[in-house]
Amino acid sequence: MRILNRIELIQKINKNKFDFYAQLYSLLFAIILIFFILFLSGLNIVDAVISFFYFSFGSWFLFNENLIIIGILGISSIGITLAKKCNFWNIGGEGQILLGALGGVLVALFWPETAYLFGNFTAIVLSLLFGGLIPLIIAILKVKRGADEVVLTLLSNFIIILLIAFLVSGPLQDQATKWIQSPTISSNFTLPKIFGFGRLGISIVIYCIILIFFFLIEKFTLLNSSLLVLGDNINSLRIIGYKTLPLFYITIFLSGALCGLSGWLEVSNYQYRLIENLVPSYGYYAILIAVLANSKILNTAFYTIICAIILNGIDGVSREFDLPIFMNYIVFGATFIFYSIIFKLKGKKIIIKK
Amino acid sequence: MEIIEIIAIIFIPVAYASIGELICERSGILNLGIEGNMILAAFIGWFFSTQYNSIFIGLIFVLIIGILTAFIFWLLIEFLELQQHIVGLGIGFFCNGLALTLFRLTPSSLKESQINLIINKDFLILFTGIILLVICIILFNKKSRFNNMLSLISDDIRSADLIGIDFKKQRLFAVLLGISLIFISGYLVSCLFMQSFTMGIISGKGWIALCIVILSRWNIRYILIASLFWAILEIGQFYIQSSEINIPYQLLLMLPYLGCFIVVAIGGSGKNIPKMLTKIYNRQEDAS
Repeated sequence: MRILNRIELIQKINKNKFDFYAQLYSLLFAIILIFFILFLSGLNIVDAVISFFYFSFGSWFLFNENLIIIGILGISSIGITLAKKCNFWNIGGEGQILLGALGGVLVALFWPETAYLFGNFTAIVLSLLFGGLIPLIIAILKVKRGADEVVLTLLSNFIIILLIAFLVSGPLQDQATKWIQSPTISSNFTLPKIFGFGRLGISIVIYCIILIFFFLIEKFTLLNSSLLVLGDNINSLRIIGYKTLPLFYITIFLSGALCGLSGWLEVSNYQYRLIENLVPSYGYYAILIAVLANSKILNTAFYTIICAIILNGIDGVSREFDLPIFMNYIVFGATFIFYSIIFKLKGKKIIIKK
Repeated sequence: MEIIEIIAIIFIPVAYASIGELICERSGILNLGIEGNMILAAFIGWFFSTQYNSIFIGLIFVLIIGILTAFIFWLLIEFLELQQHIVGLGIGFFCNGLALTLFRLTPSSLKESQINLIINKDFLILFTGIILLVICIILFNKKSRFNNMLSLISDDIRSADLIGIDFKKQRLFAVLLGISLIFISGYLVSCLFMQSFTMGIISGKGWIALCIVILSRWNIRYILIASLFWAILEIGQFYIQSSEINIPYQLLLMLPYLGCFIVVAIGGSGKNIPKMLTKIYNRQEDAS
């Protein structure tokens, strides 16, 4: 019995251990796969590989592009991870990012002359509120009426995307250009660049602060264990006298709020206006990151970096060789499947040895 | 008559996809890649149908790729015991990317190609509708061996294993059938009803099918009703768009999703969930 327990323990450790090499191998497999597909379509593979790495790390400017993606995607990933800790599948990150951006843009457009600090503070608060509102409502519906959060968050994506499409082509449309976008926000609402030049904005610093904050909470407080227990069985915490529902609601609100914040940071740091395809598919990438990170905050950082490298590298290759940008979906899908396979096989090997 | 035809055009693919997803989920396997599966099927169906000028050759290719995808999906889940969410989303992303990449690489002269239907469209709608009903009746009547087997596997896989049922084989059959139906659904959208392929041809129909399964509480009758309800909502917004009422089209497009959202929010949906859904059954681990 004790031997069995030991094996189970080893299995659990193997399942939860963060594995750098498994991720590296899987990324390599995925990249080999995509270049194989490109090879079939008649492309010079060596040139494509060189350009992939060049566009990911080739210069300070290109390296900054990775950091830009990490700042925005990382915050959403932390949000989705928080919800997943309580076993709440927040598939609606895509919509919540847009809704958060809308919250900030509304402040920026209707009170353009507000003082810099107060204006930015208000915009951030509103983006948090807008982002967190929908998942909070869904969490309440889940608790009160047993509604399924997967369906509701997924449907909310479509509703919000269409709402934003309506707003940027109607009431919030830029009348000067008549393009499908909101007017440019005033400089009072633009967040600073990190070195005062280049594209890299302060969003990466905000991401690092949020990452450290939630990592410390996860590491040194009982909140993490409470959330995990809450995810397993909401009644168990209730029995030992823990006020479960507020904790659950706050966590889910925070999940959406962080997605909302990332949307506003994208607008105030990089785009300066609300557009339909603000950060395409980031909500879905964030779900994959949360799942792969095994709901651990620090692990999300690593997977976010991997995602950013893939996105930038493929974006560069597609521009260089006039290839479709949709290749990044292939790499993403393959990376995550390869990763799971390698991780699983590695775990099995160790157990057999024991 | 025209309105029934339009409703059928929207209802049939969504119903096929929902039934495919239902079969997968009742065998305990959640397929989150349904949207990607449908896009890939729509592309393959359109591409080979136009290349060979035959919708039947298109269907054969769709089924081959569908069965291959289903088999890989099953291998990853059943043998490697990988997380269903990751595998589903991963395969979904892969299929989506593959379809859109191949479409982008297709020469522009071919992109505009329309499928030439040699058979009357009304007949095809009727035929696919009848096949749908036959599938429902054969697979999901109370005496059906397949239905009972799915119930046993989804409720108590350990008992099924103990009485000697080869649950892996049953699950393989269910996944092959389920994902093939999802692929057929994508094929129906591009080949029979639109006769062309565009980037946004599926536009969330896969996700809607997933919602319908959960909303219908894994019940075949409710799935058909919910798919019909969805089709009527879609038609409703099309009619309002074409009428003189001046409502922005984005808000009208939102109506079906909003309708579904309200129904799920009021009705709830977390009941009757298959007990083995997303769970990995390992005989040795379970016995210890």
